[in-house]
Amino acid sequence: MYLDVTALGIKEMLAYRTEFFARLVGALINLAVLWFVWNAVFAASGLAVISGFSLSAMITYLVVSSCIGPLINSGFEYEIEWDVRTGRLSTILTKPVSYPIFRIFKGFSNTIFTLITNVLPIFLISILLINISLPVNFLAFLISVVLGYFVNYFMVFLTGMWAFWSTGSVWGLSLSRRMISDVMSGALIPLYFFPTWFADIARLLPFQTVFHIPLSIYLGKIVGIDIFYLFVQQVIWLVILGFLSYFVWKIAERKVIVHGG
Amino acid sequence: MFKLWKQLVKMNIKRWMEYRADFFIGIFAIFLTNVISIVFFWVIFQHIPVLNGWRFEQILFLVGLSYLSFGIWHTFLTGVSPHRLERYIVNGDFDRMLLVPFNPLLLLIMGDIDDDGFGDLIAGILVLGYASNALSIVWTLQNIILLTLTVIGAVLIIFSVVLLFATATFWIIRSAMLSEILYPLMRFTEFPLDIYNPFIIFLLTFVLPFGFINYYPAQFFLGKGLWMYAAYLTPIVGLIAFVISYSAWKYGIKNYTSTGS
Repeated sequence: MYLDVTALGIKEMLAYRTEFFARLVGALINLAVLWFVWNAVFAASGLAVISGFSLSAMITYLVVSSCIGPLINSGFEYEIEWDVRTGRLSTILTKPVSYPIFRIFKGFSNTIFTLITNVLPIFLISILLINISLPVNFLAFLISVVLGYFVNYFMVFLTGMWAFWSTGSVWGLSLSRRMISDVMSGALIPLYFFPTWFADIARLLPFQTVFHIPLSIYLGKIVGIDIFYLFVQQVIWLVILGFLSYFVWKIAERKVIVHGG
Repeated sequence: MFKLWKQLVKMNIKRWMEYRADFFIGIFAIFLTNVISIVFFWVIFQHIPVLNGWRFEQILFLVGLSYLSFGIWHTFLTGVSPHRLERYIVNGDFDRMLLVPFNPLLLLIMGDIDDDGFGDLIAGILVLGYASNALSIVWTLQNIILLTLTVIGAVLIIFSVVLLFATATFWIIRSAMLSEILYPLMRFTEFPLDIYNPFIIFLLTFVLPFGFINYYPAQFFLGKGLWMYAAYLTPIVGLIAFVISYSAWKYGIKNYTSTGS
């Protein structure tokens, strides 16, 4: 049942092939800009290693970060907004599905499509053109990406819930969340580069579970039993945000049923 | 015409006050997008004293200059963009605009004043103010005149490039995706041109003249480099860019109306 939602979503996406191609070109331009910037930074420092990163480790970090980015930024908070504004929500609610889970499975179609049309090309082009390294521990990396994916899912879901309370748009809130996440998660710059006090604050927040943890595992910054400790952190955030999403959704659902959306 | 525009501004202000939360969150979000690139430089400059001969404050001046120009463009000129034009062509609004005895380009521009651009403007003024204070740049009459000319020229350059992308809508209709390429391209202005390779510097000077938005003008105010007086070229480059884009636009409309599609 839920898998049908994913399959249908992929069919819908096929109509937007060229859009995904444009996004790939955009991501590659972005990556090129950052490649030049970090080359200049390393040249300016005169050092081979900055904060434990060689230039090639840094480039690998950027490439993998640009691969995770499109996977998690599907923009489904706007889908939630659309559901609420157009009344599509009531149609979904008449079906024997849970709305948050319905949205997760719908989101999978975007993830799969993005994986094929953006992530794989970015990664393959980077391997061919610039020297990037492969994950130190692929299985652990994969697990941490998946855990981070769901932590991020609930953060975005909570942003989308704003549509139930505001007559305006979720756009501003969503962009703000994303900008804060870009810095605090290590998506833009590894947390290792920040002053200690800043990195310490970032480690207390959920954002780092999406980029910092998977990327640290990818590069072998963290190995052995410590990886397990990171998974625990991710799971704790997953549970907290999952429950929070559930409660907020329950309140929102009641609001819709009582007021009729 | 000015009276009509004033009327539209009044209407916009009324709308902003109606959705006051949206108004402030939107401005805040755009302000944040600028803050994170400042954070990026702040972190980088923890590790290096100068980047390709640019100190932290000098880089701030460089980006502040572009925030200011992008802010004016964002506030007053985003009515013309690939995704807006796509929407208007698809829903038939554009055909209606062509029936009115009024320049369609002006109609598009005047139809939209985007308050989110204030976020860019505020960031631009703050960053530029801080940087010029830290660098003890004196705002002499000559500097003020050159700054004004630079901003006018830069806004024309940004507008012309976006107009050219929007013009593509007449042929490909589904042009909203071009934004996915357009916005990453604009990121080139976030860094000094000299970090790129000669080929890209050539492109950003002669083909997509983003270098004249902030890089060449900043050289003048900061009194550096051989190309200082290229700053005076910004308004001229802006004018040339506009003439080219506007001709393409005119040709696009002619083509659009004659095919009747």
